[in-house]
Amino acid sequence: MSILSRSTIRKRLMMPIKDPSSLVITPLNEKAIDPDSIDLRLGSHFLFPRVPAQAAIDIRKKSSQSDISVHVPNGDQLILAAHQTVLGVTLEFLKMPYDVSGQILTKSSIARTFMVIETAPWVHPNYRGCLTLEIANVSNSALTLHPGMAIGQLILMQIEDPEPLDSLAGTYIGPIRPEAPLNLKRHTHETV
Amino acid sequence: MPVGIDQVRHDAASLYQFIDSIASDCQRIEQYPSYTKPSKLFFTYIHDLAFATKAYVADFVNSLDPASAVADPQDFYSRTQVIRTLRMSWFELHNWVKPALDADTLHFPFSLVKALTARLQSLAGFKNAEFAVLHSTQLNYFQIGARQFRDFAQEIGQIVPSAPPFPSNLGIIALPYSQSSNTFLNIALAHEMGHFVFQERNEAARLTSYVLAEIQRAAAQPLANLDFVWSKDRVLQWCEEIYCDLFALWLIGPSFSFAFIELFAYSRLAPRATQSGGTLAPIASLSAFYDSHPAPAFRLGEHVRFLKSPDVDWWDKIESGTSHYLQLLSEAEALPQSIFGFSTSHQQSQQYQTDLNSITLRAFWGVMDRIRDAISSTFAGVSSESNLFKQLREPISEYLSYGVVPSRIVLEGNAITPSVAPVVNAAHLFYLEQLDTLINRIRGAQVECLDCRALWSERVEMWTSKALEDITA
Repeated sequence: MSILSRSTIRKRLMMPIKDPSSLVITPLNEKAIDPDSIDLRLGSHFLFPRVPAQAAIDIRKKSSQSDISVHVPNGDQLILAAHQTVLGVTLEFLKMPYDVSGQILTKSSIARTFMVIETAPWVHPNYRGCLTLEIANVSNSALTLHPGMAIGQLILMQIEDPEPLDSLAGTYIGPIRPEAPLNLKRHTHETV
Repeated sequence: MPVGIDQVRHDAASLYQFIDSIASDCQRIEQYPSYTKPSKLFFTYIHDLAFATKAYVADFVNSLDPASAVADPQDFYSRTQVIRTLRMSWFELHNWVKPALDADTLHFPFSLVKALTARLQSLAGFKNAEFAVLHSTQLNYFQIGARQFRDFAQEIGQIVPSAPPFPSNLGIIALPYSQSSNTFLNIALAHEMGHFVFQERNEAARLTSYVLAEIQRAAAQPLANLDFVWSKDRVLQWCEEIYCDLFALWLIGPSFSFAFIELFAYSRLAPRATQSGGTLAPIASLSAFYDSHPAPAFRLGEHVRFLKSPDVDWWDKIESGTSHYLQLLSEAEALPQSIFGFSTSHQQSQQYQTDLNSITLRAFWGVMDRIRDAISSTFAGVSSESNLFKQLREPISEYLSYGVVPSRIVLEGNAITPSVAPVVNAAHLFYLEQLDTLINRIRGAQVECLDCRALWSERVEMWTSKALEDITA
């Protein structure tokens, strides 16, 4: 397994969509492509988990727990209290090649504020959608989140013996907003 | 019992409290990040108006001489009626605040409205136009005239000298509350933006002389004054509706026709339902003109005639499609004028009314070219983007068929950011004609399954909305 370089990423980005090796990142900021990774930005949609009125959530069962959906337009900010968590989403929509996996990491400048953006950082081949970010403020003070800010780095890795693509599959296909885990099947309240 | 100072104080305090409760809602939105700038402008207007009205009411009551209530009760009563007048005005405003508060950015098609507004801002004189969105409980779209608000602000200004003017360039449009996340249906909003432009450009005044001339030409004998005015009002209203339809078609393309068909479920009432003597006859509800709107079948036919015109040149790029909506449009275009009737609530003797309806319809036919001229003038120098659509339709559809947002298209080795109209129309046609291609690519999904169709239709709308967000960022 090798890490895709800037020139390989650019080549993949220019392949026609029909080509299973093609990579899509949209909207694309050319300057975000580093020698060995691509910076990803924070999107505008968030999902706050509600604290349930029960001792614990059994993650094997369907839950009636509600999430609160929040939209923060570009130019505005979201304040994340100390030790608070929220599901966010990347601004960029990705379509992964059939022969490439990815890993998203918190940008170091963000990580040093004690904000963590991913706890399930692996992106499978053929995935398409905006990436849901499990954002946690593990610091002792509130932090502000600004849609459009660079928040993560995507590292792309070539798979040695990839399986050909016959149909699209996966738990989450094509999301553009953060999605609650399907096994929990939580209700979402859209609210300001 | 004569009105005394205590009663006026009570009424004023009640009004004060009433205004306060409305204004405090408008102020509270500042705590949230999720209203658009035009919505915030609207709320700021209401809030500032409340502040000015309250200050006026307080000054007014303080300036009253209690003795005058006894000395001249009639005069005192007349002067204090201003409190009641203001209360009536605030009753009116009260109707619009909650629908505007409900339409935060999660509850209306934010990126679609932004994209349509950006297109509209390219028209001469509309560079700064913006739209606040309201929710409506009706399953319909409408526009609240900016002039209506301005007149209202002016009326209050005559009582309250420090009342703020209604923000210039601000339009107010409403969508059904239940359709807030629907991208394709909400393209109908383009028609409502047309009302704003029609009114701001004062098109009714320009069209009136033509309408009057056509009514005179259509009537064998001079009409009674009231009937003449009635007929003129009908024709002008129909003109405005047709103008707004053509406006929407130029602004966003045939996608507006598809939204119009879907909104009113016209596809199930297709004109091919009955056939007589080789002429397709639509069912009555589609062929009837009403007091406020032209017949739906006539409007659809006019859509096609306009889409064929060199001004926009859309039709040849879509006519070969397989959607039943396109078939319906073609059939509507083929309908002769003779099949259209006029259903009115106007009370006249039957024969006289029949003649008057006929005169009104003929006058309307006579003025159609003037409406097309008005639209050409409105959009002078603005491309319909139909040629870009022709170039990009296939690749945009292909991206959607692979489940990918079409905001960056690779075409013949070049990366292209498509513009708004090609994305909306290609995606809408994909939804109407090619959804099966996408569903067939999804493991476990079946084209016959309604749940699947609904799910993947929703995804196509989401990807379209995301593409618009990316394009207009």
